[in-house]
Amino acid sequence: MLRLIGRSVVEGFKSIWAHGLMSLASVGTVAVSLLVLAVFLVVAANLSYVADILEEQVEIVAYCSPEFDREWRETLIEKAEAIPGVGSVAFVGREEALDRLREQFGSQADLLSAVEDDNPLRDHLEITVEDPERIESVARSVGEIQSIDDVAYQREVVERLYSVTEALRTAGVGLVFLLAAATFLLISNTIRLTIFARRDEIEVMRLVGASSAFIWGPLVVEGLLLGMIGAGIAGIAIYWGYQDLVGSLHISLPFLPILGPQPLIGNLIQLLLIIGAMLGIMSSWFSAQRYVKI
Amino acid sequence: MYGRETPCITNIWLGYIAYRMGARLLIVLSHVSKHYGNICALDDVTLNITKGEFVFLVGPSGAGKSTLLQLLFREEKASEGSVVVDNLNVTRLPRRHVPLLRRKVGVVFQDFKLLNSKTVFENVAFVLQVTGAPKSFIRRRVPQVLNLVGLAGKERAYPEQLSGGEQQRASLARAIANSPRLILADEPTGNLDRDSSWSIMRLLAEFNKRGATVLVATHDWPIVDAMQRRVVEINEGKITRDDEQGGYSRSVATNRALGR
Ligand SMILES: Nc1ncnc2c1ncn2[C@@H]1O[C@H](COP(=O)(O)OP(=O)(O)OP(=O)(O)O)[C@@H](O)[C@H]1O
Ligand SMILES: [Mg+2]
Repeated sequence: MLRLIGRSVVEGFKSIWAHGLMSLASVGTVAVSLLVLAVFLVVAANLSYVADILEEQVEIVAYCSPEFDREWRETLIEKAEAIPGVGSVAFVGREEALDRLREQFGSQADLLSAVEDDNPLRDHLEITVEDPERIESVARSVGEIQSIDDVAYQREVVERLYSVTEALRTAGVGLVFLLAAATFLLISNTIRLTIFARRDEIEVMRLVGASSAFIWGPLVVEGLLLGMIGAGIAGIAIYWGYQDLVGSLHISLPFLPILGPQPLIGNLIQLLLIIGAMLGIMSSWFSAQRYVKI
Repeated sequence: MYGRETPCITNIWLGYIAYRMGARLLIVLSHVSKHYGNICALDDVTLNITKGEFVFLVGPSGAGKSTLLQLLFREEKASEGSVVVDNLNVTRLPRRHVPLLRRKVGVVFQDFKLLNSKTVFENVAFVLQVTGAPKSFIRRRVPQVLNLVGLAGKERAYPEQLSGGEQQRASLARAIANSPRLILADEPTGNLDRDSSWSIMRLLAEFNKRGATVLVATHDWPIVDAMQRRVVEINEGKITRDDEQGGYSRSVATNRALGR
């Protein structure tokens, strides 16, 4: 058994080497397909991460009308606090809001210079809700307060984000199935080439009573290796690419919430390797089944 | 499947006789036909070959000789009838057991089927590796069989460096490496000159003397005539002659065609 495996691995490697160009093409398609899958998954993971963060924030922002007089500030806060289900209420002036924004932008703060002269922000209340489930009714009550113009809360955004994530996942999976089919064809074709190149040897093996495991072993190993090498390349690419992206986003858009590379990329690479291995085994098995008669 | 039959004494007795006969028979073909589309390559062939026999299979081109041999190692499957080789029901053999049958059978072809990328030694060793023999056994066994076929000293040669006769001897060595009970040869001398042909046939006779059953499909009439062994003649898929000791052809037309 061990000898069978050892021999299969040796022959598998030899054969990949012997069909350089075809092997390269197979490995390339595996890599591209899996890379596309990986990108989709990374984007989806980040969107749902953002959605999760937003969902935890049980905050309502109530914008005051432009004519609002700050003398009435305390009254406004009291009115808001009187609404059942409201936790805390804080008044934020438009100047403070701009300061905060400036802080979030950090080194990119000069981007805000355009708006500094004519601050477009408005005075508003930041209201936390005790129970996220009741946020909608609280928001409605807040909206009925006089001199509150507009109410925004995160739930809408969250729901939209979730639906985008969902759509992205579906599209990703669909695309990946398509690419998987292409990969399957290329790998099985490479294996067919191997079968053709070694037809004499396979013929003799059959004649002298080699078991099918003995004949198929090297073919399946070759497919497995092609799949795993492709997956490895995709894994390395996504690892480097994502690290770069996270690094530069932290500098250029520091307020953007983004998942750290670990454990996301680690898990992703494992997934890619498993998919690559399975694709490789399945397509070589298919070719062996189809083109080697016992 | 046996349970349904009445367990009466005659049945048991008949079964015993069949068993004793079966033990002596290596090949049993009963009412075997083989069709390729609407070509009938073999037509209702019934043939028994006893262990230890040496049999020539003769007949004109397209008669069905190769087809018959192919049925014996399950290269092809009979369309009708049953094929039994060394107590294995070949027609009903599940696919995963086909290698077991092939290990009992050594096959030799007109075109040798040696692997050109391997040396003579490696070609012979390959059979043993494929069937999982230990390395120490392979190192002992390969020189032994090469010696037997008179190729001692050619271990490191590649097939292309050998004469036709030597190549056929190498393929004979490969066929007998794992001591098969049955040797099938399909025109083993078809590509060889007179002397080489004789040396191959003598080797086959030698293996037969050592206990193997040998079945040779051939057009090599001088050798068949000279050796006076059992001859089975096929014509258009039917057995038309089965002589205990015979020559290539008794048919006047053939003899005239051969210039005798
Ligand atoms: N794979 C195949 N597909 C279709 N027809 C076949 C196949 N193999 C053999 N035949 C046909 O079956 C018949 C018997 O062929 P076979 O090869 O057994 O003849 P043979 O006696 O060995 O002839 P030869 O002496 O020329 O080798 C022929 O008519 C042949 O055309
Ligand atoms: Mg023939």
